[in-house]
Amino acid sequence: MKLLTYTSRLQLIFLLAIFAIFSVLFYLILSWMVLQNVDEVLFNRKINLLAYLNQKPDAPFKGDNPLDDFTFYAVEESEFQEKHELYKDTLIYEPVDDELDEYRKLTTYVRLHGDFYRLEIVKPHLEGEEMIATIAITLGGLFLVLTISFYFSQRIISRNIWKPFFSLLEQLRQFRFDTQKIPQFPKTSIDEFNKLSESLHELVQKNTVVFNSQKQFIENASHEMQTPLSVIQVRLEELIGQAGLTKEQSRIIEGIIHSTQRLKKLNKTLLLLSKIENRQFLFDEKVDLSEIIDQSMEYFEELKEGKNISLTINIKSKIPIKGNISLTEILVQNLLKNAFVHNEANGRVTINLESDKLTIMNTGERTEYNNQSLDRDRLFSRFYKKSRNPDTWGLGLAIALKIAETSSWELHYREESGQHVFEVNFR
Amino acid sequence: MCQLKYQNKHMKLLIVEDNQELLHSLEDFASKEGFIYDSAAGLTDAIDRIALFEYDCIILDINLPDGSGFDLLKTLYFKGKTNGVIILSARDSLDDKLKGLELGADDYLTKPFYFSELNARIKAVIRRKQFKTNKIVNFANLIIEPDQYLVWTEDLENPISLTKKEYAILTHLINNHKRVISKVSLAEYIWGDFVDEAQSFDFLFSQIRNLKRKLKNAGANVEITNIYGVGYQIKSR
Repeated sequence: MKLLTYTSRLQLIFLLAIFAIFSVLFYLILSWMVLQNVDEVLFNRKINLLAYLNQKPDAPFKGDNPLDDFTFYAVEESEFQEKHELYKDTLIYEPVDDELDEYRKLTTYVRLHGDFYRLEIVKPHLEGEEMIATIAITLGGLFLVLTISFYFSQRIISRNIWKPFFSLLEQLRQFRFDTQKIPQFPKTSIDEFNKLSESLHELVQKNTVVFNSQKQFIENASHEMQTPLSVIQVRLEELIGQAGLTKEQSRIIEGIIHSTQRLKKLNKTLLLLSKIENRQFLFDEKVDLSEIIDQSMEYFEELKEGKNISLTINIKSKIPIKGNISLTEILVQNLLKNAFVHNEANGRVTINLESDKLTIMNTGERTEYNNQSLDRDRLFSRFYKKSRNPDTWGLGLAIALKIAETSSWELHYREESGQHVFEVNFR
Repeated sequence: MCQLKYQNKHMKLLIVEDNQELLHSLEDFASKEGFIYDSAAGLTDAIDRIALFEYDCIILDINLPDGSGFDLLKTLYFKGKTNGVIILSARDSLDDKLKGLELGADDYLTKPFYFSELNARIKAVIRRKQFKTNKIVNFANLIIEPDQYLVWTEDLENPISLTKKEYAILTHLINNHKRVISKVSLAEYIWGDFVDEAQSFDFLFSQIRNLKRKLKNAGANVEITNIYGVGYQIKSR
């Protein structure tokens, strides 16, 4: 739910509650006022009536005349109460509209020409239902108008006032540390947004510095490791050249060579990754992919023969693409290595090269811990590997993806009729 | 028995490297290969030496405590000296490589390197300098024509038919015949990083088996020995 929707919803609920309370109060006050008014009218009528009758003793008043609003009932003296006045609501049948209408009735006792009477005067008064309807219509209408104006004003607010916020959000969404571009957040007249963009700017800047120093650290550490690794490697080479090496010694040395080799490859890969991240390559070379594929095949000849893999290469386009030659070589070779190494006996590898994409398809190796499906999300992440081959680091596809990204290409994985498909889109 | 057309004996190297361990190893390597060598642990030392002596090949580390190896290249360039220079750098950067080659270096090798690889590069540099017309290599009764990927025994009519990889293995072994080449470095020389180690050893094993068979059938007086599965060395019989 949008913040604005949420706050307006709350505001409207509050408003509704206030309107409800007000309607009740309004109703109570209004009916009290009306009663006061009617009672006053009744009282005045009584005074006027009595004054008139006192002046004109021969005026007929005792009969129940349906044309007038008062009735005199003769009472005994014992029943007579001095100054008794009772105002009461009553319902009187109205034959015109065939219903009981609300009336106000004043009951009082009067002494007229020496006789005692009970006097009742009635007046119609405003009906509760009508009042409620009036209140509902006026206040309801007001509420509706308020809601509509709320909605439109908020649309205008969200369009204008929140505009810098959304543009800030968009910039943040597109921000990446490795592009080295610190986003310029918009300046607004709203303090909160300015504070937000200032803090974000600061955060991004600080983290970029940390990110860069981390990157630098990895690169420096890898470089520093190269010399000691050289020493280990050349010393080991010297050692195996020594005469009189025993079998046991050779075995130990082989173990050390193996581990050194792994260390060396890892270091080399980390260096390559940080070099790609630091954009130390030019990407406007003309790359002939068909040639790269052709040359790379030589490295996989033995793997192909060993597993009896049938290879199909369809070169549909020989148009060179724009990129970096050595990185593209690494990309293609990593994908090819992947296709050959993780293949099954008597499997297939199909390479399709079109003008805008390269597709490498392979059948998958089937072992107890490696079923057909690959985790798409983690496939390209560093140090993720599905096979238990101790010689791999799980960095090949991460590098391939990094190269594709830096060359502004897209690298996708999908499964198609039981085959693993890696596709590089050049456009 | 062994007659190489080029002799290391009168070749003089200058080794510029500040890491003592690596310097010792390089010195051991040079003496084993029969080079005469001088070593310098810093830039000023190296510049002094090139002012006094002539070297056939300089092995140059770029990161030196008292300056950059590039400065030595500049000095050489201004003096008009055409020593073969092989840069050894921890930095596998294209910029450095281009800069080095622009300043007149002959080759660029990234640490960590194999002696067999360095040896091959030194020999290539020296060969370029000294035997520009004649590149043919002799080893035992083998004659190798590097430009045409051809190998003969005494029978010059019929070259031994070798695959590209067998040829590469043979020449690499011959270039480094004085030392044992580790299986790892040989596999990396042929397949690069593209094949996993365990697999590449199997491939190497079968390649070498085929190579041995072909050499034997052609009557070559050489023997490729396997040192307990760690490395290989070629010897003339």
